[in-house]
Amino acid sequence: MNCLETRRLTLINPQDSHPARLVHLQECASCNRFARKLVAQDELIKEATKVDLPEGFAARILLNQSLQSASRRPTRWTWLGLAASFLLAIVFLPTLIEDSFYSPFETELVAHVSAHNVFSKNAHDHVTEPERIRQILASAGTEMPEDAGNIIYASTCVIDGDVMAHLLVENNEQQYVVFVMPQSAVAERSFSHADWAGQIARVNNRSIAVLNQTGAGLQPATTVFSEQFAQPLLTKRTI
Amino acid sequence: MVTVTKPEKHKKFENLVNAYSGWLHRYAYWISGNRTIADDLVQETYLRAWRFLDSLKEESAAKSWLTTILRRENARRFERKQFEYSDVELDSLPATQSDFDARPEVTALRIALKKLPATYREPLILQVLEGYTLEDIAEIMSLPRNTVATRLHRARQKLKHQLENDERISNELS
Ligand SMILES: [Zn+2]
Ligand SMILES: [Zn+2]
Repeated sequence: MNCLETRRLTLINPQDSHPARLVHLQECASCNRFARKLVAQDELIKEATKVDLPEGFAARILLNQSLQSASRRPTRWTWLGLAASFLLAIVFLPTLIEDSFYSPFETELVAHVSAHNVFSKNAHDHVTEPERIRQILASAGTEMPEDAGNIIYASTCVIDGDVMAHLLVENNEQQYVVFVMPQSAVAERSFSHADWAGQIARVNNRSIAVLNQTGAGLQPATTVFSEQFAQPLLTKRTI
Repeated sequence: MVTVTKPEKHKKFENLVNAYSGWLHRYAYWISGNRTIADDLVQETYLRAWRFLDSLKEESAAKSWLTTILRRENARRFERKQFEYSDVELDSLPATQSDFDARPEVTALRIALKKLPATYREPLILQVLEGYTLEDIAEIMSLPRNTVATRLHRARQKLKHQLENDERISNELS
């Protein structure tokens, strides 16, 4: 076996037991060094890929399974939701008002926007193609709008268990994050949370959320977007 | 038809959880790039495994079976989200876990692994961490054996170059 073949096999598997390779490694100092380097690299990979297991992980899997067998299938979010509303109920019991119940969704929205950050600075690296945008809007049950401004980026995202279109739209020289939600489960309201201001509107059985960081132009933009992104899908559904 | 009685099924399931949840979580992290997603993927994998537990005949096939289910759960996530597998960036691991190896070469390798395209990273993880053969990996990833070989080859080559570059730079700096 020559050096080239030896190195090829070594890169595929440094533990490869092909006899001719092993013989070559005995005879060729250079390939021997090469192989030892890769064996050491594999050892480092074992260390480098270690990930801490969340506490009580196995127990949670078993619990999840037994709950599912009892025909309910809670996700992590329902657990957090339950825990959160339980805490809220304790803390706010005397003044439990509607708002306390509603606030988690915008918290989720803002958390998602921060995690899936497509705003401004790298927006133009992200440009989504029109056909893709059309698909993503279709999956949220909406036609491509005629006059919503410039859709820079689009993605289908799951927030709080609901599938929605996540868009970055430029309108009147301002950028807005827009969520088109095929369900209208979310009540209309304005909010400001962390660095974000937002409005949620309901049109044609769906909800639209519009967010930006300054709050500027939010009201008129929400009016425009809730018309533009609320056109029911005309093509027949393919399910 | 043989039906496994309930306690027996539970026992079998519990064994699978104890034996493989650690591996699955680590694998899920390195293919999904995110601890929260990894957590969800493993939960989903076991829920599905429970439903189809009777189809697992050979205890020895359990790990590959679960690994394959997890891959599919991950793929499903991409169908829902409609973006490409390779687009995903790994989130950063918490830096100060006590049992993390903080040697500079380990940290450098962790960074290099994150830069590696997911399609290369995955077969490498399967081979190095679990000792899967090329044939096993080909089956798990539904790829021809030669493709797996090529990806492993490139993966190691890229890591090696990356690390040698890092080393050179740090030597030049010092
Ligand atoms: Zn040689
Ligand atoms: Zn998103």
